[in-house]
Amino acid sequence: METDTDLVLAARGGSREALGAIFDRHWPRVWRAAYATCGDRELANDAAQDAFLKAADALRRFDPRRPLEPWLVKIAVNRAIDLVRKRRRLVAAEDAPEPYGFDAGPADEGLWAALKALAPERRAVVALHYWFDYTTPEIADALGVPLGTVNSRLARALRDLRLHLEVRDV
Amino acid sequence: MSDELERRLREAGHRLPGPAPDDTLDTRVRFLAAATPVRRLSLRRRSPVFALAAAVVLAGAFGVGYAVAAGKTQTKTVTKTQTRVVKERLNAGPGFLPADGWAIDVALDPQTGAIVAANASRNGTELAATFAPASTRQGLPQRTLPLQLPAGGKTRHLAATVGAYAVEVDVRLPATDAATLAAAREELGRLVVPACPSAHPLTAADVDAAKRYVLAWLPAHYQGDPSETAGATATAAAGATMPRHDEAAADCGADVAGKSVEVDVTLPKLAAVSASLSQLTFFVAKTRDGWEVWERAR
Repeated sequence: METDTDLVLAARGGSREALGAIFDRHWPRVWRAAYATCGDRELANDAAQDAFLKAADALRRFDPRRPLEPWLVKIAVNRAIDLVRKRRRLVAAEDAPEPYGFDAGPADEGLWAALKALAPERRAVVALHYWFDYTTPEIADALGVPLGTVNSRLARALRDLRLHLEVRDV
Repeated sequence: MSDELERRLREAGHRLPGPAPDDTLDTRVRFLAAATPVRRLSLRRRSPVFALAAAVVLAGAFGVGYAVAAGKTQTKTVTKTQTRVVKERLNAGPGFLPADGWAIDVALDPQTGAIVAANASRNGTELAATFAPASTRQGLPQRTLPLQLPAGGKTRHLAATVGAYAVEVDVRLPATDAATLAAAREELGRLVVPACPSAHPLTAADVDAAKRYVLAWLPAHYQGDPSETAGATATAAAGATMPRHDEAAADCGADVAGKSVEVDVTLPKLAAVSASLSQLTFFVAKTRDGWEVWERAR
């Protein structure tokens, strides 16, 4: 199996097969990272698509020795956070309920409701740590924020989740 | 509580949904279009014959307009016409002729067996065409190529029977200015659909000849990774003995069906992955110009 480095170098040389392989390898996880952050298919599509289109533009400048996925996840998750904020502003202006929410977890409704209530920045940290097995330094690198910020967001997210679930479970 | 919360979190991660196939295909095409230098977009993984056909059509387009033949001799013109008959394209299979600035991705829909050709330009125009045997979609209007861009806004849809195929095209435009519409019309003009053939009568030796022809033709025309055709085997039957004679007759008429060979191909490399994708059926006929694959059946 070819490494990401091989694929990036081949893609730079004009190989559409390599480009396709890059997309096929990383699209599902990048999309899920965006979805985990925003909880909305449409926004996740936009965010993940943005990540790949930016990657397409920047492929020639990308250092092929670096891993591809964190780079793509960084763009997708940050874009997802932006989109959620933007939609929240629009929704708040219209005084309507937020139109987004997870559709994946009927088996644990309480947890999904608690996750939905988190700010997208905190949800992204939780998702990357527990669902994508990123360490906190890796999350800091992926999101472009200091390690202390990641630790703080994670701790506060877990506290909020715990509080939400305790209230709900009482 | 903490351990319990972490357990529930990790379990919830396993329930995350994945991207929809349509969204995946859509983004894949856009990514390939955006990442591929424009001058390198065309003619990769195409046969020399296909490239020649494209060159002829594009040469016409760069002159005073161009026309795409709907059949062997029939042509339909756009504005000032420089008529070109591109016989080879009839054997190129459904899809789009390559053109600079456009990225094309052709795949088989694993659920329906239909051929899906997604096509995107760097300015964001997208054309997604689905080709299914005509007999699977009754009541569509008969059209010849080139298809006309339907009226509407940024999203447009057309459905028609062309040759042996029911063709549906979804067009998404980033804007509706004259230049964008002209580019979309031009790209729609590059849609390729095999016509029903002028079939010659068959001889007893033709069944094996058709089988050999399809196996040789397949790697260059397969809508997927050509390596998946390695080790392909086939069986063949002609005319009324074809297992799917009725389908052929419904798509191109009893006369053509009676003069056609059904070649059923098995791809061993895909057999373990998907039984449906590993089985391909082609209708071929002998014409004045040699063997012609006129339909990839479901």
